[in-house]
Amino acid sequence: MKGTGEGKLMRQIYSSPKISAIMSVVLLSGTLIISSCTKIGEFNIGANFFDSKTNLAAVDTFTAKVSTATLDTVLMASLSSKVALVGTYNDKYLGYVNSEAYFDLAYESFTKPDSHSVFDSAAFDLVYSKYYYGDTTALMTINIHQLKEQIAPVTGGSLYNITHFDYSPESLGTLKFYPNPTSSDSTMRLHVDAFGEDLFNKLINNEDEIRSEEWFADYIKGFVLVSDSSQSNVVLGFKADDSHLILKIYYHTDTGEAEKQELDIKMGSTEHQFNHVKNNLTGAPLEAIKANDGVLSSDKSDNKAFLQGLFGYVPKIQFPTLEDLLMSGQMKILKAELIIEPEIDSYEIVDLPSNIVLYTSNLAYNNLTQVKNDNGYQVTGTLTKDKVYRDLTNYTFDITHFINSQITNGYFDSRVGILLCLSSDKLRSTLDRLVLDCTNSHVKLRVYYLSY
Amino acid sequence: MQRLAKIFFLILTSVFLQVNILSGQGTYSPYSVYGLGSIEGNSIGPSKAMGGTGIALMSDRYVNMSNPASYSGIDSLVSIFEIGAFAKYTSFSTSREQQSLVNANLKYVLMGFRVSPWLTTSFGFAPYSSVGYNINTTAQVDGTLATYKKTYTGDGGVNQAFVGGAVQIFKNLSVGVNAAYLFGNITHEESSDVFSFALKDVTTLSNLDFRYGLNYHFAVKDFGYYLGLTYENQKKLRTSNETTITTGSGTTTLEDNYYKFAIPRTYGAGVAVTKNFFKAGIDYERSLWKDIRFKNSEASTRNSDRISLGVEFPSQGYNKGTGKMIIYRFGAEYRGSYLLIKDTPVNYYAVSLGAGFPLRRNISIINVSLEVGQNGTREKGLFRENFVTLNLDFSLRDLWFIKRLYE
Repeated sequence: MKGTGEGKLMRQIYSSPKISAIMSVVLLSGTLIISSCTKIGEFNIGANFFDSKTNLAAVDTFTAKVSTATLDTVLMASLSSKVALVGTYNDKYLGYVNSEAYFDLAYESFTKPDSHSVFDSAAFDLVYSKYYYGDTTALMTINIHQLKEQIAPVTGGSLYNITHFDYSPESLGTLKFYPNPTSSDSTMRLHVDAFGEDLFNKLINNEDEIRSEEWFADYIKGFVLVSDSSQSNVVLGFKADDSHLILKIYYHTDTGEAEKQELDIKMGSTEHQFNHVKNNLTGAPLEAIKANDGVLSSDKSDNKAFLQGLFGYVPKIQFPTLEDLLMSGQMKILKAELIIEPEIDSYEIVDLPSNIVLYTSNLAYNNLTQVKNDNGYQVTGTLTKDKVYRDLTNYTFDITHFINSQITNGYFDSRVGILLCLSSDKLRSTLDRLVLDCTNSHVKLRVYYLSY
Repeated sequence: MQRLAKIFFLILTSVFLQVNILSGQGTYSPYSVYGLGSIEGNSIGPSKAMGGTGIALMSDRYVNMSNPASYSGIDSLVSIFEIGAFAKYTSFSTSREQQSLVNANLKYVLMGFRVSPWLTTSFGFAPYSSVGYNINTTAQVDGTLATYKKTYTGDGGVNQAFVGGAVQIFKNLSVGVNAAYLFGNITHEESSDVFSFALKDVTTLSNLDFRYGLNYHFAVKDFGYYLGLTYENQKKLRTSNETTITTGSGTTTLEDNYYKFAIPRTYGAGVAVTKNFFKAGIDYERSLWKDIRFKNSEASTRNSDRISLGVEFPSQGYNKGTGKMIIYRFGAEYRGSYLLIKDTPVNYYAVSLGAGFPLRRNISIINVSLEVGQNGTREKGLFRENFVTLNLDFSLRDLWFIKRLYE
């Protein structure tokens, strides 16, 4: 058949399937290179052609309603934090706070000292845990007393910081010292020679009390460390576990050359180690809190709210006017920040907590729910410390996810309050605290929302 | 058997290329925010080197999309498989600043072949229009003095998958029609990274569209004279829209916007003269955009015109007249804008030149062209685009209908 045009020239040329295939492959790979070749930078030319359909606004004029609540003691079950807290601290914010540390001793089949041994002395080793609450400049006095009854958990199987046991009024030993909790060389000896000698004699004579756990526990019962607050104003922490808070009995053998020996008796079960705290709020802003069922509004507590570990005081913050924002038509909340400021002079002696976390709770304050982020973790505050402009020191919390989850039904329940809290372990084992300034706009909710 | 394998291979390649074209960026220009975006036009390959001229020219070694009647020029022995790509450098300038970028992508895939002495067909896939922009602005957070970066992006466009046919009625007259399925989606998005929000407006469009063409030609002595006419009717596009807003807490679908999109009625006419391997042509096209309204407050439409002229001639030297000759082309084009932004038109001017290089031992050709031009103006707060575009067109031709000499 005859073709038209150039076909005449081509009739003798072989058709070439291989070339087609090769060309197709070349093109296929060429396309991959070309389509990844587009470079589109960031432009602003042409910006004036666009009608924006969205508007972003920020508002932070919501009224904050703040009060101090008390967490139910059920939540304050003692945590074996392995720190014994002893001392008293008093200031105008949280009144007078006192702590006594309870513990007992562990039974072992003790090595009987040689019958010719002679008692030298006995002392408890006290090692700083580096925690302290208050002013470490004044002379501190610590006494150790023997308990009149054994340490046993109360109903529920826990010890609470309000639990206490009777102890004999005479002290077994006294230690006076200038506290230096942050020093590295930090072991102190609290001598209990009379008691130690008695125990030493029982060991040499292999008496009943040291031959069975039950008898030993009944003989020892337990101890409590108590401070004398006449001069000092601090609560100190000491390590309390089976390698610290040891009773050491020093003796020497009486045969030939006197050889110094030591018998160690370790601290008992960590479940029996706890701190008993009590406070006196007379003259302090929270004075009326107990009489008011454990909740006191900030306008009745000198425009302040309080957070304190071991006592379970937590500030509760509500924003009743947040609902008004939701009435403003089609909108979405992009970011919500809670910003709080500590009372300016309240952290001169006692430091600000490094970590504050958020919870919500039921009205009986015995069931807490974590306030969480997008990624499922509990919201914690970011502390900004400004040494120069102290009123710029604040904690900021991102509660975007929380606020958005509250308004999914189209309205916001203004009874929902956010509790500021310490982490669970610090709450039950330290006296860390925060005094919140609740005057105008020092407790702020800043919301960025998009309308469209 | 071999032919089937070839066909299969070519179809596979076409599909792959189409998918690639769909996912790439066809254009970048803030002017493409209006309506259907930047309208591509119907010139491809060699036409591009001639300022887009082709209404009166016949397809021979390439598929001339400018006029469906041109398919009659396709040789009976040859099937054409054509693919095109481009790389464009654009410099944007306002009265105060200047920015630039490079953009490249595949553009089209076409095939054409003769079915019988009087009927030729072509089919393919090419862009009709494209949208592309990525612009940052500074917006204020209401109620504060703070500002943030807000980004407007757009992409998408309308594509055409077409089947065309040309019938040679008499020796001098061909008529043709392209039936195209226009489809695509256009996305406009407004977003902020810092505040994690995005308002996204996606419109999906589709419809069938027909373009008609006619070519009348006659010869006097050595010269061939051609007259081409084209016509495309106004067509409303069926649209569906989904507008959503996405923030950190999830995506909400908003009430759909309903946009009206349409393609305008277009008339085209062209004349051309040929002698041996020399060709020259002039095109004129008019699109009636006046009846089509845009939603944007700043922009309005007017009827637009396009004029172009182009010349093609072979290299001199001993290859002239053979399958190995190189063909040179040049041309110029003016497109009056259909867009009036703040009552100011956005006009397009370009000059082009290019060449067609045959591939050795083979009857396929690679056509290269370079277009240099400008679009828009710096007046009235608008901007001007100065661009240089490199177009590549591979025209793979294959002898389907010849028997091997040794078989």
